[in-house]
This record gives sequence, structure tokens and C-alpha cells, in this order.
Amino acid sequence: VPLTQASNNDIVGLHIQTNEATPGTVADYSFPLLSTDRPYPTQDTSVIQVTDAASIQGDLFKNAGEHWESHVQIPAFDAVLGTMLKSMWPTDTPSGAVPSRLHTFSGLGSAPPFVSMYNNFTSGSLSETFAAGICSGIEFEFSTERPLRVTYHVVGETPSVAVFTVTTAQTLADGFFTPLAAANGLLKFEEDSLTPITQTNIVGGKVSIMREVTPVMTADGATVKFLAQGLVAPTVHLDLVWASWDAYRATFYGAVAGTTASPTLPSGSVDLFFGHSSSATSIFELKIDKVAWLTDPPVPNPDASPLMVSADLAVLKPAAGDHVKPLLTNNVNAAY
Amino acid sequence: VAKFKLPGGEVSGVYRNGETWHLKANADTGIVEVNEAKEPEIAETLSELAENPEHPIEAVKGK
Repeated sequence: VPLTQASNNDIVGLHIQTNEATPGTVADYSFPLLSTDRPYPTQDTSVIQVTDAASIQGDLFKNAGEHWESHVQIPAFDAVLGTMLKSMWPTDTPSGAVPSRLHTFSGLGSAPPFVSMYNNFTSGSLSETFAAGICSGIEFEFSTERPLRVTYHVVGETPSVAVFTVTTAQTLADGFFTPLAAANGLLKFEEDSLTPITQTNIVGGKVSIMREVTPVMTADGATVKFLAQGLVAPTVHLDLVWASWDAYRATFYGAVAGTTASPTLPSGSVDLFFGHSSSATSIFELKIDKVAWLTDPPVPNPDASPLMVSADLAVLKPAAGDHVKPLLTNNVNAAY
Repeated sequence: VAKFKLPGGEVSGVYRNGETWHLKANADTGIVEVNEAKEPEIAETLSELAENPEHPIEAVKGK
């Protein structure tokens, strides 16, 4: 019977390599995807044209430097999130005891570990290993409609067809970080207002920490041997139901109580807490100690919809530590 | 030798060449010793973290 099998079975694995040359065959974690963006090999071709009157088209030439990329989107599963964080913040200092072990990640902008990713086309039975990758970005997006969504970007050196096994398979039954915990967000609109204000009017937002990775081709091999890292680019966007003029006045009038145009931007802070759908002891916190609030003027709508405040925040260098500080409290005892 | 107190008994990180490292503290004291000559990158990383009052790692004075 010419039936086409359902093909939504796509599991991806992730592993922190001990060094560049050791891809490993065992994924630390595997997880299902929210999107169709699986890890994939990529290549470029050129067309070679010569002054040959017999040719009516150029010849195809495969460029050196096949490599792989990943832009997978997953619900923010608890345990595997630490592995993803380590690939952008390479130092993990755990403290406290499980199930409330606090993993303090640091070192944003320093050398990251190499990661392997694995994929299994279950429907077609093809296992692939994608080795020696470097994280090129992590994005956290939340709204009222879905779990905290993580987009995990990686650029890597070596794709191959190779089988793998999995240490811990994460499934939806394990739960995931939800949009926001009860005390969801602590925002400060200017440094002079010393106490951060707990906000309950956050509708959604996105925190992106990107760091471009450019595969550098060499003429001597089929795959890439060098990955060039760029600068770190953290960005934050928040959508708020209008509750006060604080962010707006800080943006344009220099202080939450400002009345005149300001020649400078005040800096504030953002602290977001994400609870977990099934584990009360799991908490994910994104702490950004210094930001400039850049809100759009709220615009009343003729349809009488609620007044909203849309803010793009410029992340600034804090007094100490990283520009964006992820703090993951969970049941994982060992340092990632 | 530089000494650091690790509140959770361990710390992990990455060398500049992408190789990972993992240190465990003495189970009784919670202190880890790092030879600055042999492991300059680790010593530098932990020293920077110890200077951050928000970070849980503390430098132990007296070598």
C-alpha cells in the first residue's frame, strides 16, 4: 500500500567535547525539536567557466570547506539547558545541594568548549554525528502561549554519518521552563532608583546572546579546520502592558521622574525568573545588570486595545561579571 | 600555589584551546589548590571570579 509514513520523529543529541579532536559517540542529552531546523551539513559550489567555444555552460566545482550548522529550537528543558549554557558561558561553579543545586555560569566571551550534535532520521534510519562545533548564539524567547523557547545556534567543522548513543533522553514528560515564574521579573529603569521593582506586566520578550562564528576555509581539505569567533552581541526585547511611565520617561527624559529632555541615557537592569512546569526546585534566571532602556512611545489604538510599551534594551558592561548572567538551579549535581 | 574556596566543591571550565577542565575541592575543607605555574589559565579564571563579589568562588589568602 503506497502509504507515506509520518515523519515527525526527529531526535537531536548534544555533547560537550573534552577537546576539539574528540567528538565522542555518546550524547550527554537528547531532545525533541520545536522546529524543523535540525543540525545539517552545508557546502558551497562554484561555476568554473573557461574560454572553450564548445562549452555552453560552466562546470560545477565543489568548494573546499564542507561544515555544519545548527539552529534548533527546543522547549527549555531543565538539565540539557546547562549543557547549552556551558557552550556560551564555559565556566560552571555549582553551589548548594540537589535538587536545588545552583549552577552559576560565567566567562561569556572567553574560549568555549567544542560541542558535538547528533541527529537520527528515525523515519529513514540515518544517524549523523556533527563534530567540533562552537556555539554561535543562544536565544531565549517567551510569551504567554508556549514554554520558554531556546534557539541554539552552532557552527561546526565535521559532519559524518555515524551512529551514537544517548546518556539522558529529555522528553516533554520531564517538563520545561515556563514563560515566567510567579515573581517574574525585576526591572530597574535607572540606577539611581536603588530597589528593582517587581513587574507583573511583562507580556513577552526575547533575550539573545549571539556570537558570530565564521568557518574559515582552507584549500587542503574537504572540511573546515578553523572556526573564527566574532564579538558577543547581547540584545533584549520586552513587551510590557502599560503600568507606569517609568520606562518611557527614563528613555526620553533621563529618569523615571524626569521632565526635560536628557542628554544621556540612564542605565537600569533586568532580572527574569523562569519557573518549571513540573519541578518546583528548578529555576532559570537571566540577570542583566546594566541596560539602557530604549522604549517606543506608547501609542493609543482606536480599537481601544490595551496600551503597550515595547522596549529594546541595549546591554551594557556591568560593574562586575558578565553582560548577561545565567543562573540555573536544578537537580544536576556535577558541574557541567 | 593559589587557593580557592569552592562553595559547591567543584568547578569546571575550558582552556583557550577548547579543552575542558574540571576541578574538585578537598572534601573536608572545600578548598582547591591551583599551581599558577602549571595551570596559569585556570588560576587566572578563578582569580577573576574570586574578585567578583557576586560570584560564589572565594580566594583563600596566604599561599
